[in-house]
Amino acid sequence: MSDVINFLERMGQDAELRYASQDTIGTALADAQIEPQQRSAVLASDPERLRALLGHEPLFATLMMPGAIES
Amino acid sequence: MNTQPSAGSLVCVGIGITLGSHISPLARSHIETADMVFVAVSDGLVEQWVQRMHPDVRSLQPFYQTGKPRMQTYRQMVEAMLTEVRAGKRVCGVFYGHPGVFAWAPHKAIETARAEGYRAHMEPGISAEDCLYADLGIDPGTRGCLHFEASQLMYYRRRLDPSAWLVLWQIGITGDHGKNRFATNAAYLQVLVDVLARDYPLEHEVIVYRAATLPIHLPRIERTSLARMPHLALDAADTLAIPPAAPMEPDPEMRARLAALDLARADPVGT
Ligand SMILES: C[S@@+](CC[C@H](N)C(=O)[O-])C[C@H]1O[C@@H](n2cnc3c(N)ncnc32)[C@H](O)[C@@H]1O
Repeated sequence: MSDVINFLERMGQDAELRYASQDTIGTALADAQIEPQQRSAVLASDPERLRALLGHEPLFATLMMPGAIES
Repeated sequence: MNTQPSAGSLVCVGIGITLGSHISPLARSHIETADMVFVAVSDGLVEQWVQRMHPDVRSLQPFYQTGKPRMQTYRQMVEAMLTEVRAGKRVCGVFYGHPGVFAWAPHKAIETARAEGYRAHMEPGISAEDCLYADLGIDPGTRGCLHFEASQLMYYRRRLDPSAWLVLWQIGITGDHGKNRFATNAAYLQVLVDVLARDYPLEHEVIVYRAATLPIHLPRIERTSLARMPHLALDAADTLAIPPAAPMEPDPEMRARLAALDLARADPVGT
């Protein structure tokens, strides 16, 4: 039993899974007992849906001033 | 004279762009062994992933607010980390990509911590730049590659070199004065196009690039012309890559000098 964050980590680290066929990913998702809606978001390569399912709002990501002007 | 470093310390690590794929063993070890961890990443799922690596992970997200001067947000991020360092904690700041690439707070936090006598350093991470070279098949060594923060090209007169690659960061917040929008629009992008049109033909190709942050999707690679760029839907995570538009110009004078040096070296007289 795993959850989708662990599953994503595994996908990210595993050369066999990272660019695997839908079939292979589908089987791995089933083996990991990932919840069906999340499973279909992963299979659809739909990060937006996955974020929504897990209740994530879009994050702010800027770390530098536009123009790199300090004040 | 050796002053004993204080107990508190700071390390800023990068965890790369793609969840699971890019984090280095050393970055992970810094996260796991710190007393407390701060995190600033671009994806909620990535943040959730980092939360699992340590029992005390604090998000820097709450410092962002629309309407608040951006610089204030960044200063508060630095202060949040420094407060814990001063309290004697071993602090790890986790940033997406490379923590020192187009990122003010990690550099500032390390500089401040050192100035106050604490141990502080940075561990590199895989940046969006690294992903871009791989996904677009660019080698920055072939023609050279300039990198600019997109708005800087509008605020300042910079010298571009159309015989090299040009990479513009933060294209999706072009012209944002660091307060409200966290976005751009066609009018701001048109100003940028006008700047670029001083050196590039309007029909020249530009590439919008976004690396995969999750291992379930492919990068965004969208090619259009410079003239059409203002009409693209751009996101804060997009980077713009502009291929060379001109051949490299030979420099006959320097070539002649180099040839003369070669000749002098080959000449047995005087040896
Ligand atoms: C504040 S900077 C942080 C960059 C980050 N430290 C790194 O090393 O990639 C944000 C800018 O990085 C670029 N960026 C961030 N995420 C990206 C991604 N997934 N793909 C392409 N560029 C990205 C964009 O130009 C964005 O506006």
